[in-house]
Amino acid sequence: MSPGSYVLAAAAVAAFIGVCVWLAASVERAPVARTRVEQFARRHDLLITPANGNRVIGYLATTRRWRTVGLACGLLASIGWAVAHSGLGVDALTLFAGWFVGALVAEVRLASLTSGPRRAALLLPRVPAAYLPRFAWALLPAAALVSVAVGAATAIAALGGTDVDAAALVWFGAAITVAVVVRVVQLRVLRRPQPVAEPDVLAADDAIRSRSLHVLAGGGASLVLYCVLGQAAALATLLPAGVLPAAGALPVQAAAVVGIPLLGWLVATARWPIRRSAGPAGALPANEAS
Amino acid sequence: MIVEVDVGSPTPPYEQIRVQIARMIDTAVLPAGTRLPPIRQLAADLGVAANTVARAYRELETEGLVVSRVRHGTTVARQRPKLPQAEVNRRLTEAARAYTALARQLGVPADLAESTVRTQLRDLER
Repeated sequence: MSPGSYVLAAAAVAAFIGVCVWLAASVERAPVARTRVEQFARRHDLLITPANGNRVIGYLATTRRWRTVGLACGLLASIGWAVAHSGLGVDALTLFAGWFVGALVAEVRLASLTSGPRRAALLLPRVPAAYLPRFAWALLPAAALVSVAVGAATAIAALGGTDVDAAALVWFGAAITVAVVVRVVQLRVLRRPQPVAEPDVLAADDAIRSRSLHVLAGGGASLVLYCVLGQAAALATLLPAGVLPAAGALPVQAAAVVGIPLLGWLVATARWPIRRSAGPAGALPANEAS
Repeated sequence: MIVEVDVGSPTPPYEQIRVQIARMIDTAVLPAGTRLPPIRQLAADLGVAANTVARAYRELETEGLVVSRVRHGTTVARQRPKLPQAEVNRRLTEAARAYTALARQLGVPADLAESTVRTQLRDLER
């Protein structure tokens, strides 16, 4: 390739990155659409009121901002990796991973309800079952368990004297790291302070918590399962031909392109009606009146 | 089932929390077997140190009002401890003295103060 071609290619990549960054900035600055707020309210049977509306909008704006930044970073990482290996392309997994890291950062940065002059709290333990289905809460450890099982199978196959591909260790390490980090952030979301407030504000806070936990469960489990696919591909090279499907086999491709994203999306966007009623602003439910 | 902390009060926060939870247990607002929130959750929600809530829970456990078990959290005790009769009489007399002083301060006649107590006792039994 001539020097002129290199310059042109670099200019094209720079222009592409510039356009993507501009798009991301435009998305980040745009106001939260009414349809997004309505969709959020529908998913949780939440009544949007003047008291809780800003909180919901703030949540949607914060998560959108950081997920966009994460997606942009994933794009840059993907292009950078391809260019460093004398190629030019975008890897979907890197994009998704970048988006999900942005989602994690958003959850860490989301502010909790602030205490007013009155320091009060409900004597109700916040448990995962109040915010998402049990299977969704169990999805992440289940995916991590599959990773451990594949890792154990790789170790056993390697004990036979075969050299273990370093990729197997990298994918295993990545799977467990993702599982642990996501679980820690989920627990942080659950334990985010919730002082006593008006019922509609508390209902919105519960809905936000629920949506966060759903996204973390679906996205986290998907990312771990992608790592498991990588582990399985490395394991397949250690085993006799035909024991495990190769990376390019149809079942593997179906899982990667359809199955895992569908599972993650279904969990992340599932409906979960909030049990606490919004009620009229200014009124506390009778059993919570002091 | 709300517990409040007044940071400006001379009563320490852990004592405020302990008294309120004990009262809820005594009046069956918190029935036996009810699980209390984890220490860190309640501390974060109230904006106090975890040790403050931990001390309140510890004192409630010493009084036999709650039971703490690893991985099960803190729950309201199913069997209430029986206080010696002398201690029961002492606490009743103390409460009565405080109530009488308040009635005098408010200028309330004795029969009204008495009927108010009877009404409260009737409501508790319902």
